[in-house]
Amino acid sequence: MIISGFWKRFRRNGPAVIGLGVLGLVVAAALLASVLRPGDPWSVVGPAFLWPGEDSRFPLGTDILGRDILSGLLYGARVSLAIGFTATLISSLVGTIIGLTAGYYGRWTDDGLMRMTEAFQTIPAFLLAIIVIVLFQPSMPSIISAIALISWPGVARLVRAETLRLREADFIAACRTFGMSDLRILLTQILPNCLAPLIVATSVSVATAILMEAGLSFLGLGDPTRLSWGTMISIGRDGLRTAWYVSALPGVAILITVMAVNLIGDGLNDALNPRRRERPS
Amino acid sequence: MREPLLAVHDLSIGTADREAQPLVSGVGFDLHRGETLALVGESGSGKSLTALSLLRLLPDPPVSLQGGSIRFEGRELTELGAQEIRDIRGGAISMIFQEPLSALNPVMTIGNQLLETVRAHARLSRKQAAERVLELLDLVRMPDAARRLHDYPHRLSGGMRQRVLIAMAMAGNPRLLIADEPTTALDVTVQADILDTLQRLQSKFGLAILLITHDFGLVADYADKVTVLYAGRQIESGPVSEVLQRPAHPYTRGLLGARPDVLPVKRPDGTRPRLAEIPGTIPAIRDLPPGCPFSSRCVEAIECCTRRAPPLAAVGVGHLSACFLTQAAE
Amino acid sequence: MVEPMTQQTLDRLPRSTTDAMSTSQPYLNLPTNQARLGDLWNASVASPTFRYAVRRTWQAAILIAITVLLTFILINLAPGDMVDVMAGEAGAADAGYLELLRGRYGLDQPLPLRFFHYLVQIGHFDLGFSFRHNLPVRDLILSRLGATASLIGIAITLAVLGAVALGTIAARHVNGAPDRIISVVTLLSYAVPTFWLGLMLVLLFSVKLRWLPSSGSETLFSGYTGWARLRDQAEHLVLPVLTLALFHLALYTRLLRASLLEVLNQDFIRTARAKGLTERRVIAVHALGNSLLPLVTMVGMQIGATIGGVVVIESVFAWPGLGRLAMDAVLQRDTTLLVGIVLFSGCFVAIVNLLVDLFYSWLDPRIVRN
Repeated sequence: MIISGFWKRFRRNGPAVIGLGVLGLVVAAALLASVLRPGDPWSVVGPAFLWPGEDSRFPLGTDILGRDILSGLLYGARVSLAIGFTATLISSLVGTIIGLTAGYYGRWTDDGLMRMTEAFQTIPAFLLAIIVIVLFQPSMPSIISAIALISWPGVARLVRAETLRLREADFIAACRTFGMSDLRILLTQILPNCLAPLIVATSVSVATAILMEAGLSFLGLGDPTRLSWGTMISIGRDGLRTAWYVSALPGVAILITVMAVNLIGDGLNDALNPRRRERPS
Repeated sequence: MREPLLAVHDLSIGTADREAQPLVSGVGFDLHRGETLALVGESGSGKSLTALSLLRLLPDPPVSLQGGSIRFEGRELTELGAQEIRDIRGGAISMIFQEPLSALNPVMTIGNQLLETVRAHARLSRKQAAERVLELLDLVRMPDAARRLHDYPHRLSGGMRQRVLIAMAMAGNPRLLIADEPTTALDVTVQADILDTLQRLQSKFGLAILLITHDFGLVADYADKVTVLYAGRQIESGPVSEVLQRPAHPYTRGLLGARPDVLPVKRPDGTRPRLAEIPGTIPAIRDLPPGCPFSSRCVEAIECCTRRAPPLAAVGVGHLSACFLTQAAE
Repeated sequence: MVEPMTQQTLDRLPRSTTDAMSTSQPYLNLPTNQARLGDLWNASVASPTFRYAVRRTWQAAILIAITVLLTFILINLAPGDMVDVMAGEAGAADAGYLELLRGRYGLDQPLPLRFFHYLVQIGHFDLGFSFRHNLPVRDLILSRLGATASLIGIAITLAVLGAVALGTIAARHVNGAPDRIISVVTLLSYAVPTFWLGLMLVLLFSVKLRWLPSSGSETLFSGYTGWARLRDQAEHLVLPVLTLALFHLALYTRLLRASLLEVLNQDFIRTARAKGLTERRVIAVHALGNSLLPLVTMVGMQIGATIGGVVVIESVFAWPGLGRLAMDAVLQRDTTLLVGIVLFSGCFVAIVNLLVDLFYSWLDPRIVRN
C-alpha cells in the first residue's frame, strides 16, 4: 500500500482538496443545523413565497407553505449525508465480504454467490429500491437498506476481481505454506491489497447514494418525518412558475455536495493509483 | 564522391526542460544509396530517438528535435510542412519497428492494413491495389499470401508479422528504409531470414538501410558503416571492418569484448574466462559526468577526460572517434 | 440511477482491444475445406459462436427465473396486498367482501402455488392480468414500451455520438483548453440530479421561454396526424431526451477519452503514422476502432440500469412509459403487473448483454469463444 506518500499526493490535487473543503462545509452545516436554525424545518415560520433576500429573517426565502428554506437545506444535509454514508458503509462491508469469499474459495461458492449477485443486478436497480421502500414503508432505515441492497453487487464484483487476481500470487502460496489460516490470509494479505480500488469505489458509491436518495424522496418515497433535499424539490414543483427558487436551491445543494464527493474520489484515485496518470501521445 | 542520400548533421533532441541536458547531441552521419549504416548502442543510448526524429515521429511532447539538419535527397527535412513529411513517410522513407505484434492494428486484417498503405501512396483502383498487395507479399516471400490477407495479426507468427511490416514499408517504393531493431523481438532462427530479406530488397532496389541495433554480430554481417552512440552522443563511427578490427574508443572496445562466446577457450589452469563487462551502467542524462560522457565508466580515463568533452576526430580513413587517448596516439 | 464512471470501472473493462493479448503463437493451420457439408455444419449450428449463444441464453433464462422468484417473494413479503390497497382507497370494506375479492384475484392461494401457476402462464407467453388496470399485463407493457424505448434509445444514441466527438477532441488536445473545459462539464454533469435538471429545463424552456411543452409524449386530443403529429411528438421528446442524455454523455465522454489516450500510446498508431496516413485516418480508423470496445461494454451495462433510472424522468415529464407503470404497480401492490415488468426488463437486459457480447467478439477478433 502506498500510504506514506498518499496524503502528499492527494494534497497536490487542487480540485480534490477543494472538494474536501466543500464537503467539510456541508458536514459542518449538517452538524450545526440545530444551532444555526433551531426548530423543526417542517414548521411554517413565515409568509409563503418569500424570495431569497426579501426578508432578512429568511435569507434563502420561504417555500409554498412558508417553511424556511435555509432551515430545510441545513437539516436536509443531515439526511443526505447520513443516508449517503451509512448506505455506502453497509454496501461496502457486505460487498467486500461476499467478494472476498467468492473470489477466494471459488468454484461452487463463487458460482452460487455470483448467480445471486447477478440476479440482484438484473432487476433494474432503482426499481428494486422502490419496491423495497414501498414494501417496508418509507423511513430512514428502509431507504438506507434499499440503497445498500442495490449497491453491494458492484462492490462484490470489484473485490472478487481483485481477490481472484491476488489469489494466484506467489506470496499467497507462501503464506499458506507457513500454515496461515484462510481467514488470516484474507484479512491481512488480500484485503489490504484490495483497499485502493475499494476506497475509490466507495467514494463513488457515496455520490450515487446521495443522488439516489434525492431521487427517491423526490418521488415521495422519502422518510416522511425528515425533510430531505429531494422532497424540497418536489414541494417546489407546484410553485415552479413563480417561486422556482424553492426547487432550484436544494438542487444546487445536491450538485455541490455530489461534485465535492466526486472530486475527492478523483483525488483518491490519483493518489492511490499513481501509475494511472495520463500520458500525452 | 557522390552526394549522400541522407546527410544528418549535428542532430540534437531533448525535452522541453531548458536546464536539462539534451537526450541526443551532436549526432551526424551520411548514408548513400545501396548502403547499410548501423546505429549501435545500449538501451537508452538515443539510437531510437535519432531514427524517429528523421520522420518527425518523436513523441512530442515531451521530446522534440531541437537542432541539427537532416538532408534527404537534397531537401532539408526539418523545414518541411506537415503534409510534405506525411508524403515522405511510407513513401521515400519507410520505417519498421521492433515489436511486430504491437506494431500492427489488432482489429484490422493484414490485407486491409496493406491495402491502406498502398492506396495512401498511389492512386489505384481496388483491384490494382489488391494486386499490388500480393506483389508486395511476394516480394517478402510470404508463404500462402492470398490466404494470409484475411488473417488478423495475432494469427501470424512473429517472423510473418515482420514480413508484413516490411511489405508495408516497401509499398511506397522507398529509397531509405529505417529498421529499428527489426529482429530483437524475434527468434534467432527467424532473425537471419528477416535480415536476408532486407538485404535482398536492398540489392534489388538499391535501398539504403539505416539499421538500429545493439547486436554487433548483425553489424558485422549486414552493415557497411557503423556509428556508435553512448548516452546520446556519438563516440565512434566508420566503416564496419575498420571499427570492428581496430576499435578506437574504449566503449566500443568494451562492447566488442563483451560479446559472449559460445564456448570460451579454457585457460591453462582449467578455468574459463568470465564475460568481459563494462563496469557500471549508463547514467541518466542528468547525471552525465562533465567532459567525456563515458569517463565515469572508462577504465582508461585520464585527467583531461573529465575536463573537456573530446571532439569527434579522424583516426583513420572515414573513421572518427571521440576520445583523447586514441587521438593522441595518431 | 446509474453507476458513475470510476477509474476502477474503467480499469476492469478491457481498455482497448490490445488488452489481454491471448498468445503470440500462430494458430495451427488446420485444413478448412469449407466445401464439405460437415464443415458447413461446423461453421453454423455447431460453431463456437452459436453454442456460446445457446449457453448464454440458457444461463440468462435461469437468471431471469431467479429474478422473478426474488421479486415475487419480495413483493409478497410485506404486510398488505393489492386488495388492502384497494380497500384503503375505497375508504372501507368489510372483511367478507375482501375475502371474496382475494378469491377472485387468486390471492388466497398459498405463495408457491401462485408462483407455479405464474411460471406455467409464462410458458404460454401470457404475463397475466392486471386487475387494477383491467388489461392483460402483456398489452399494458407493450402499450407503454414505445414511449420508454424511444426515450432511452434516442438519448443513448445521442449521448454516444456526442461522446465520440467530445472524447476525441479531449484526447487530441490532452491537458489543453478544450480538454479542461470538457472535463469540467462532464464533472458537473455527473453531479447534477437528473430530475432536478429536468425540472430546471422545464422551467427555462417551457415556463419562461415557452418554446417546448412541459409534459407528456404528445399533445392529447389534438387531432394531429402525419407530419404535424411527428413534429408534436418530437417537440415533446426534446427535454426528456436532453435530460437523460446529459449524464450518459458525460459518462461515455470520460470513458472514450481515457480509452483513446491509452490507444494513442500504442505502437500500431506509430506505425500508422509512419506509413504516411493522414492524422484524420489514424484517429478515425485506427484509434477509434480500438477504443470503442470499452464504450460498447459500458453502454450495454447502462441500458439495463437506465430502465430503472428512467422512473424519475418519466415522473418529471409525466411520460407515459414503463417506469411510471412500474412505480404505480409497486404502490398499488399489483404483483402480476410488477413481476411482469421485472420479467420483461430482465429478458431485455439479458438480450442486450448477449448482443453486446456478440458485437464485442465481432469487433475484436482475438476474443476466443471457448
